[in-house]
Amino acid sequence: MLINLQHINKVYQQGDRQFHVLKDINLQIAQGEYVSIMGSSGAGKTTLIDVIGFLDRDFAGSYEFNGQPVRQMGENQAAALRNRHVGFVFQNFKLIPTLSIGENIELPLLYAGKRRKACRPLVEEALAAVGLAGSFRKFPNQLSGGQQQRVAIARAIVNQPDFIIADEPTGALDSATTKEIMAIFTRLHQQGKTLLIVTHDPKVGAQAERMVRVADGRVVDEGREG
Amino acid sequence: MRTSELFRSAFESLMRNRRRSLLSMLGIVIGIAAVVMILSISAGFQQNLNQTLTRGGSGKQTGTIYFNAKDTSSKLPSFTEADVSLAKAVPGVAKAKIQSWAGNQQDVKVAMGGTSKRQSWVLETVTHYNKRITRGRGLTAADNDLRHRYAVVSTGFATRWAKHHNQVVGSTVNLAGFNYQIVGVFRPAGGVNLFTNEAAIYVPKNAYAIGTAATSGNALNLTLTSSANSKRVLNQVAKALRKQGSAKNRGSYEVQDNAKALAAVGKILKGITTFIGAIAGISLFIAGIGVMNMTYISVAERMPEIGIRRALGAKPRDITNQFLLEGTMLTAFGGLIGYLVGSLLAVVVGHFLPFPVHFEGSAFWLAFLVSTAIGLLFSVGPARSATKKNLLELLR
Repeated sequence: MLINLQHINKVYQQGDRQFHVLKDINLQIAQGEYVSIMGSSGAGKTTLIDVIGFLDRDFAGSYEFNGQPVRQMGENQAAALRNRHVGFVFQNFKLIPTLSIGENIELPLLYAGKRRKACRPLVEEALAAVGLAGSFRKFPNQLSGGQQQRVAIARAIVNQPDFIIADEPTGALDSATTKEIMAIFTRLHQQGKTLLIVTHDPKVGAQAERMVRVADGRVVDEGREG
Repeated sequence: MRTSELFRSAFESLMRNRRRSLLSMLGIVIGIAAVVMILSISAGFQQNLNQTLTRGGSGKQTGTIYFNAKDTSSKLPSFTEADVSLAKAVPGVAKAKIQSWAGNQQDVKVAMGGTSKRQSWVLETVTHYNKRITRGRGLTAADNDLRHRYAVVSTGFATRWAKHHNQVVGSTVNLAGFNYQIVGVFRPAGGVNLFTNEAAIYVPKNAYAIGTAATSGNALNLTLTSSANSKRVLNQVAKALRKQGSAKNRGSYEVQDNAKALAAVGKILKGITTFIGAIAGISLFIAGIGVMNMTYISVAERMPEIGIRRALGAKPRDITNQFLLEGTMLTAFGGLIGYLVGSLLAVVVGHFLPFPVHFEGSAFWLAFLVSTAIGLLFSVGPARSATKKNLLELLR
């Protein structure tokens, strides 16, 4: 099992108030699955994928990734895990504006210890996979929202991660562009990638094989039939 | 991240904000340039001092024995050749020479011709003089023996003299009531010499009647071997003279250790240099604070970028190293430029000074090390703070 969450609980402290954000989550995701995580805002979807994506290790319960326990890891180990196993796609693209497209996509490879020369062909490959071949030297502010999101996806896949986490990837895009982006995700899944897509848009969520519903910090529907 | 990529990344980041980088570098450049310039000039001054005090040049140990006559009106010589042999017999003495001291110099008023106003010039009596003659000839020992009233004058004197006379060599000048024929012109040595004034007119000693006794203030110049303990050897010579010197009953012998005098002056010089260096050091400190400030601002500005990098797999130390490197590259490069600017300035200023400026290779490494150290020291704080913030807060 790729991702195995057992009895995950998370509490936020704000001032002297406590928010129990994740309540006894049990969730398993296997390699190659296309999962959408749906729920209204404030339900805890984002917090859940923060935990799954090794961004947040402050939780109670057990998270095993490929059989390896995550909670006891230090920050350096978690960073290495993120670099090696996860590709992130965010709602507002999160590209570094002062770097070129190619330099943005390169980053996971550089942090994996590669030389810049070795990165170039891999970056070009990723750009081609999202339909943006030849954009290496352009800058983010020269691209449309949809194009920027494609760059973000290219960045997410360039280091061949085990799974891709997308947090509301089409939230800032119009319906036509949304269709294009979702087509890319479908293609990635067909190539065998594991996808976790957080969304509140039912149309987007329906494109996944399995829909996990989250409400008020709990998984209310695991989306597994039978 | 690979170290080579870290360097490249830091460099590109600095180049992206060229104006800001240059301004931050400016403080270091100025500070290092000031230090290098001061060090070069003071090193040149000290070297010149060394050469002047150790009259043999070439760093040989020297010393002087002075004789103070009890009866200052006596015309008997303070040192004779017997004394010279006595001194040479002491182990550790390489050379010994009787020298007429600056007491043989005096000011004379010379009517330069034309107007009736007299000019004051420094005159020195010698047994012979043959250095840097540019016109005519010098004074020979024969001139002295025969008491010829001849004179050799400096080029400065000759220039003034030529304003009212058709020729210099061959003309007659009146010195202290007597007429002397100018037989030659010499070029002064120049340079800064703290212990003697170079004379403008040289005349044979025997031809010139001096009011003051020739015995007071005469000195015996000694050059010691390099392995000699200067204090001990000089004291031994003085002891030998007190026992068997030709003038032992007429006065007292006094030792002057040139090495000590040199060390004393050197100490003062070092003190001044250290003081000025400290002031320059303060300017470097202020420059470092500027670098620290810039790095803090840079970090704050790039917080979202830091969040993204960490999400992609940057370890906290990758982030810290990036900012540390940016700050250090800035100061190191500034130090290099500062060294070049400071050296250039030292050369320019050196043209206006009477001694050459002195460059040491160690100054370069000092500049490089100090500037790099400043970069490291003042970037550590901001670089560390770049990873303090919670990753989740950065991302959302």
